[in-house]
Amino acid sequence: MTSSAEQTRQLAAAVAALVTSSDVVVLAGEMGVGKTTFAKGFGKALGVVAEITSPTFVLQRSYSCVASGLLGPDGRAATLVHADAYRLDTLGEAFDLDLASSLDDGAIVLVEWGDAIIPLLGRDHLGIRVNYGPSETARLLELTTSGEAWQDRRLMLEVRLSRWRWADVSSSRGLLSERGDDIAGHDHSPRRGGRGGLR
Amino acid sequence: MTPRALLALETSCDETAAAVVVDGSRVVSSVVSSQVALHEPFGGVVPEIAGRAHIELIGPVIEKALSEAGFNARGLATGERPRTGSGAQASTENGGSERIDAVTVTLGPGLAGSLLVGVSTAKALALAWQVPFVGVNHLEAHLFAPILESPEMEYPVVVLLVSGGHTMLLLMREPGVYRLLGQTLDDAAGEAFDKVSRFIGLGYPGGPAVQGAAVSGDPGSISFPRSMIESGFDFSFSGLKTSVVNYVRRSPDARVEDVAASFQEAVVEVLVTKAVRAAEAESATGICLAGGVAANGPLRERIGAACVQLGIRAHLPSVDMCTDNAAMVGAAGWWSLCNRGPTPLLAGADPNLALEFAG
Repeated sequence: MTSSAEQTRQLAAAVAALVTSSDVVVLAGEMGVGKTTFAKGFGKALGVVAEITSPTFVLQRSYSCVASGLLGPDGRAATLVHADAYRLDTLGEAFDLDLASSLDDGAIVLVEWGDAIIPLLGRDHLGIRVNYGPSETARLLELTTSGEAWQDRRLMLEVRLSRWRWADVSSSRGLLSERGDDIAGHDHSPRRGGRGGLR
Repeated sequence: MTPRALLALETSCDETAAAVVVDGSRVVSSVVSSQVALHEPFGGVVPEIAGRAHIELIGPVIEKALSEAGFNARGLATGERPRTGSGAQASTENGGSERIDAVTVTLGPGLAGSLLVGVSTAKALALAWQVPFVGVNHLEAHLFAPILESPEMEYPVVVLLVSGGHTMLLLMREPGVYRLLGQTLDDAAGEAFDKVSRFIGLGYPGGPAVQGAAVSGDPGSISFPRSMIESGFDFSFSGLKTSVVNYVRRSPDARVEDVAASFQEAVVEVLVTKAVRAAEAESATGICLAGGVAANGPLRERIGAACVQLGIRAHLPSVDMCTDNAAMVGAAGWWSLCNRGPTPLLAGADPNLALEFAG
């Protein structure tokens, strides 16, 4: 659990330290919960100098990880692709984003509202669901590893994130779980789940 | 010879659009895809982001723009009296042009697959008609929308460019010479409208929906934060979005109209405050609105009132000219062709194309 936007950025930076070329990180969570905040912390830790802004409208933005020394397979600064599936109605539209070729080129791909398009993202990914916490600034982050690419890094993730582990995870959902089912299984599509309880 | 009639294409996002613009300022025809009745399977469906939709639409849209302007598919004047124009700006004369003198298109920024449709089509037509090809920046095209409607504009002006994808304050010293004063650090203003609208159950697109609901709401009922209003020219709307979520979760009985009105008030106040401060700081002769959010009624009224108070001019483009269209691309393309020359055919669509700033 994080208690502020700053802490969410720090947690994102801790996750970023474990990320390498062609990794997929899937961000899920309701509107306003702090997915872009996470992306800002994540990108900054990867060495992105440019301001990371919401990709919702343009669907994706690419950033060069110039300040970290992190290199892509071509020997140049690694690329972070920050994509957003919020506006996508169908998997076919998501296919047009051509994330697969970004991954082939060695880019690190971070997808907001990515839970809706998991079938396109492949088996190997790290899922992060950001939930509203008990106070207005607190957030409960659930991490889910999926596939072999993340299997080996589970332990490292647990170590890196241990300072946030004190969170109340007494219920069935742990901070760190295996397989992506609990993320992929729910219909959290923004188009259908968006109403916020007003009359 | 100075080019006169340009065919302009715009496919950077959701709209497939074509226009014929003469002398960079006279809009002879302007067609956006939502005006074109298509057969199945796209009939009645507003095309979304997929490039496929643009491919289906680009042909009919170009045909309509050309024929309304009195040109045939070979880019030559038909000699017939042009049919009535489609938009509010469309004039009914093509100014005696005998042919299309150049083809201009949005190169970026936008979605790669969508941009590609317009760029490939424009190149093909330029090659077939043996006329120059001119690529323009979508953001620069938006800046030409107010110029199209206020040709007598005096510079420098402050431009507030607010759309679903962008929120920028610019100083325009003259056409082609811009300085970035500030921009959003997270969400664009239009994006905040869309997301909040959907969250409170008002649907898409969010701008008109929120504005409509806000009419019967009290803008002073909820005090949402005015992020970063105190200083600087940058914007942040992400925190406002979160505040709306928190408020609604805390007060589930709140009236949708009050939430909409209070949210809109928060966005408009920040936009107007910063635009006015920029105009004062830069001794601008006026404030221009551009981009889809410039269609917002309260924003237009408040910018207008603020300019009256400052004794400067408000340039408020018509609603058709605020949202994506090809007429503004035609104006920007004509200016670019006259001042920068044609674009090499090797230049491709660039999803991340940045606006060039001077000083």
